[in-house]
Amino acid sequence: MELADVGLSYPGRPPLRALEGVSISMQQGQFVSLIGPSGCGKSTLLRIVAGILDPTSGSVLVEGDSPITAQRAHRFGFVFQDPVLLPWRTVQENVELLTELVGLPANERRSRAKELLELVGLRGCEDFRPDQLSGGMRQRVSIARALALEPAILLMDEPFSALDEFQRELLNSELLRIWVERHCSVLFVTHHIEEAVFLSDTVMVMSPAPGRIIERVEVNLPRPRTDALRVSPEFLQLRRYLREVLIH
Amino acid sequence: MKSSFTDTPSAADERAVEALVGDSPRGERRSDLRTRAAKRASSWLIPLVVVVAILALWQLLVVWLGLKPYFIPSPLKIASTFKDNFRSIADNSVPTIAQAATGFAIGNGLAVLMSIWFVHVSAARRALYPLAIILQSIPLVALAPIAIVTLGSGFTTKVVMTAIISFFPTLVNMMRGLAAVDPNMLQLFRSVNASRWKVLAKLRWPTSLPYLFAGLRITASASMVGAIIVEWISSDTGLGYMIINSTYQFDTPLLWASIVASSVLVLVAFGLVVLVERLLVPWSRTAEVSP
Repeated sequence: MELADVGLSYPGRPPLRALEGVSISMQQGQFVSLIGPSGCGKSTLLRIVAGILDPTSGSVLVEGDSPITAQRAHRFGFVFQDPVLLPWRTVQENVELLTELVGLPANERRSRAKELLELVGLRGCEDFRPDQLSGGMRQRVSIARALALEPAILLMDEPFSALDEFQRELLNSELLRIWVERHCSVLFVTHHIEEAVFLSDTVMVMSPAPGRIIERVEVNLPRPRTDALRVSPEFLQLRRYLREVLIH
Repeated sequence: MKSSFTDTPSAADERAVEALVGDSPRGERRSDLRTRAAKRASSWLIPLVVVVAILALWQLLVVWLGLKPYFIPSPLKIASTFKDNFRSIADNSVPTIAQAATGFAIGNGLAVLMSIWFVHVSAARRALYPLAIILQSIPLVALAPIAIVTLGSGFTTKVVMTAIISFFPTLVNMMRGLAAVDPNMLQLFRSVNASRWKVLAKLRWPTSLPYLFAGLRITASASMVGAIIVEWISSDTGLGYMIINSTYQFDTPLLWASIVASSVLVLVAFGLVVLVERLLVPWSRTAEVSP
């Protein structure tokens, strides 16, 4: 995935510049985080990558295609800050939503959803309704749903920010396990420094609006990453460094 | 509670899931089942006791003060009048129910169709929604004479009136409900090129059901009240006619009996809507505020 000099400004006098000269290149299978203060345009950038918004300058290529083409080819999986599940559907039916909309046969849908629920650790919860689940469990369902069309890239917009610290750490590890098993790339928006370091190959630090990439930090910590890593000196040093970059 | 020594594989699996996931969706349910049942019983019991107490006080006051039945009849007098005139009350309920039900069905049906049209065709909404608001702003008692002059004083006029009453609350609620979809959810539908029809059938329509039933609750009672009011203005049958007629004839016990019948019918209509909602929209019950 290649973003070259992407900018977005809303017309007005003076024009409201949301993003400026953002260039990101991401290899297949990479885990990249976007971190920055709120309002810096992280989510906007994610929407541009997904083809929901058009940039006013620069170009975006996803595996050589435009974002719209990539979206049409179901190359993206979306996970939002809220799980946004349909309350009248069971967990299983929620995971089947997208496969149903693209017209996959029922038995194929069912077996895929079962497999994905197993993957996200929700075996036995197929027939629950969303309001019977905890916040962490609901976010697991939404991850399973995002994977249902076997996307090459997961676009995640602060998916764990509504969870408590314990759930967040648990889901961080779970996400890494899922990412390894599914061989997908992840573009992960967050404002949580520790989470970004723990998960990513590369952390992109954005400036306050108009959003620019001000620092690109490679996280060369060994994988698979376990909770013990969170207190290792290398981890803490990276964390401190990112904190300084973000504050200045 | 099951002993941990007799673990079946499935129970062990379940606990593995719980341990993995952090908390169990089943655990909290059983523990407060009893207190919930007690709460439900008391939520019925307390209003019932209050109503019985008021009726008893009313009865005692009427007897002690020696009030005449044509002035204020006692509850027991009303009950006996109700029993003696049951045939006539039942006969007069039929046209009222028929008008209210037909108007309710037509008004709500049109409101649902029109809201779907408005949500999808913004030109239609801009052109017609203000008109609907104007129609709503005309008081029913002012509209009724116009309807009688143009349409006569038959069944049609009364149905048109109750349909108009039923139309607006449901239209407003449905417009909100159909638009109340989460933008991210809509984005998911768009990401797989879902047609407008699929968005309507699988997202907008189910999202709007709690709003629809909010409208139906209002219009279920409003259409009954509307039918009765229209009968006041022009009719020779129906509960509205009975109310007016017994007033003119100073038959106050019968007046009260017909009022009781009307309010029972309104309650039944409301209860039916709530019952259907519980069956069709079980997911909205959790959002309901307990009394």
